[in-house]
Amino acid sequence: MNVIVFGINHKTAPVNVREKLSIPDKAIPEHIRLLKGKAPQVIEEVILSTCNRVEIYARVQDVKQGVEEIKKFLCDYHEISRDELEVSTYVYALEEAVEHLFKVASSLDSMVVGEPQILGQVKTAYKAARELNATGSVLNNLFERSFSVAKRVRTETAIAENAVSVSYAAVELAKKIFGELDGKTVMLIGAGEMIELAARSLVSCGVKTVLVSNRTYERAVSLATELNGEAIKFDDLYDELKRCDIIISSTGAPHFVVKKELAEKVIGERNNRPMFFIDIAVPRDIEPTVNEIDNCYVYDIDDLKEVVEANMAEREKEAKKAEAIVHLEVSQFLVWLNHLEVAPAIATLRKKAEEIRLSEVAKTLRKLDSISDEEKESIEKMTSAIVNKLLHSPIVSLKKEAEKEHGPEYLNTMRKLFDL
Amino acid sequence: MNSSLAVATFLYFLGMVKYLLYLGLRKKILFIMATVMIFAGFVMETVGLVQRSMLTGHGPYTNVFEYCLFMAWAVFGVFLVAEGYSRIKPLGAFTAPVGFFFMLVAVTLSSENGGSPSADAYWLTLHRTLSFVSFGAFTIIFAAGVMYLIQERELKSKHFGGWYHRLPSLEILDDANRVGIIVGFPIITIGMVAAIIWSIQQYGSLMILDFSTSALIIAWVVYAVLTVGRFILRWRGRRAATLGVTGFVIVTISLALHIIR
Repeated sequence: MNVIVFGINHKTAPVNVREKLSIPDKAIPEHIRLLKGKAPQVIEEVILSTCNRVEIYARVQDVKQGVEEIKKFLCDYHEISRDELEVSTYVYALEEAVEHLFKVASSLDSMVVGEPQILGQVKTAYKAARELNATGSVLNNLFERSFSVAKRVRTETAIAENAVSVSYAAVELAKKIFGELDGKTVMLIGAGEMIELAARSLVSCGVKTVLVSNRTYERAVSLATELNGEAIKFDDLYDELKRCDIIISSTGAPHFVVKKELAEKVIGERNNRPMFFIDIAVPRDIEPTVNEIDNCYVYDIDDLKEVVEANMAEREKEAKKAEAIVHLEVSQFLVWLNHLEVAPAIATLRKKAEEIRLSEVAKTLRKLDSISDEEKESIEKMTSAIVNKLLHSPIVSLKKEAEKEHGPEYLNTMRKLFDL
Repeated sequence: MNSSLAVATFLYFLGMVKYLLYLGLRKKILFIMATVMIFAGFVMETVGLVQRSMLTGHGPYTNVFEYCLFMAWAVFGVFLVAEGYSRIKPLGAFTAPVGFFFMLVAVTLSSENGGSPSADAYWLTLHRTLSFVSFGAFTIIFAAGVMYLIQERELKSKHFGGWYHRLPSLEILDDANRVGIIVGFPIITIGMVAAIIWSIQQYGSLMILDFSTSALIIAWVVYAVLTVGRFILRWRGRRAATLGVTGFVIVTISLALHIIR
């Protein structure tokens, strides 16, 4: 049972090469049909094309010939030279192919390890292929299994728990301070693109009220409408501060907008309920010493970047755990795959032995026409017994070995020995 | 020490180790195993204490050995409730060592019977039980306080080590402090009133109640300061956490001094 993956990704090729091989969603059915026609070795196939990777998963009759056919097809289809194709692509077969798919689905092979989109993309690719009847029992099982592996990785490791973008780092910090963000109030000072992004992330995590204040009131109003918040006059800013749990600031002001004395006064009016200042302005808007006040937390743009880096490192650690899970799942899947192959192989072996026995018995009986029916039956029984006893131990050990890692080797040896 | 108590000590130990491992490795299965073991230990200790009480004819509060057992029982009991209620997963790693410490002290002590209890022990029993439970609540305030101080330092200093990822949000930890005071202070106060009633009934006046009286008074004062600070002066966060931690340390030291004496 030969599963292969032929592909190109962000690690093996720059975007100018990847785009040559990329296949738009709409063209995938056509691509699948064409490949099936041009590559008779391919029995089952799934095509995955995203902005970071293009991969063809296939079950082929013979690995070498299958890969050849796929390469030839791709060169013709995308009109690129063979050298160019080979330089930036990879081929995995059997165990490695299974492992690769499990890693891709679990987002261990992604540019941002742990990002959640890839699983959806794999699912879509599989669904598209299945609807065209391009998949069969092997790829069906392989892909279904990859989804459950991805789920396992997600629930058993913290791979996707920590934010790896600046705006989500702000959300994560806010959650470390406030717990849940439901019902919290955020104030935006300034109205840039960055501030809008951070505000949207907070709103999507439950922040209830958004106050927008800007030097030009009209701009504040338009952003407030977009975010379903309320615009406030820049002069009212200091009065409104005490309502706010989170303050995101990004003005062009050359001086501090929030000074330490002000923050001290406001935190007292708030009965010491915590305040989180996110300062993404350069030069900074919030006086850094505000961070020294109890229950006040100030993060500037560099601090946020540091959070992102720390989280990246954390993800790498979790990825190690995830890879252990993937390895385990790969070996389990291979056992299943071997079982799938062992049963037909054993049936073929039995059938072959039975055919030999029948023909030899017939030959012998033709020569011995004087014997009785009872004696004929004895000969039948004896030959059956010999065949069964001879085949017994190879079959038993084959079944047993199929559960181990070198199962396929045993199977191949048996096929060769018995010429199946 | 009877066999149920020995088994309980062992289970507490395993549970504590699992909680510490969970804090380090963050494998969910360790957390579940730890909780199951502490719960099993708690059940075993309850059985052991009942067995012992039936044998001696009085509750576990006649000598230091029994005090320690009862203390551990209260700490683990309150902890199990607090863990279920607060869902603070690292709580066990900070609380179980405190409970296990008392079990360990008990193991080293003679388990001889401490003599007969007073005849009219109703108020005294109430006082003792409530005092122990309030100490359990104090342990939670302590554990939440330690976690708060660590997490607050991580957030203020902006150096994100392992603690940042392992510990829950400040809000949740501060809330544990608040709930701990709301639950603990009335309990210790009722316990004090019970002691006063008992003392007056027994001796007709306020007498030195038992060997841990001054520790108890200290604990009540710390609780009172926490309550006033928290609910009247509106302290939150670091100040409340610091006071919870130092208060717990003061109470534990005064208890230990009494035990040594």
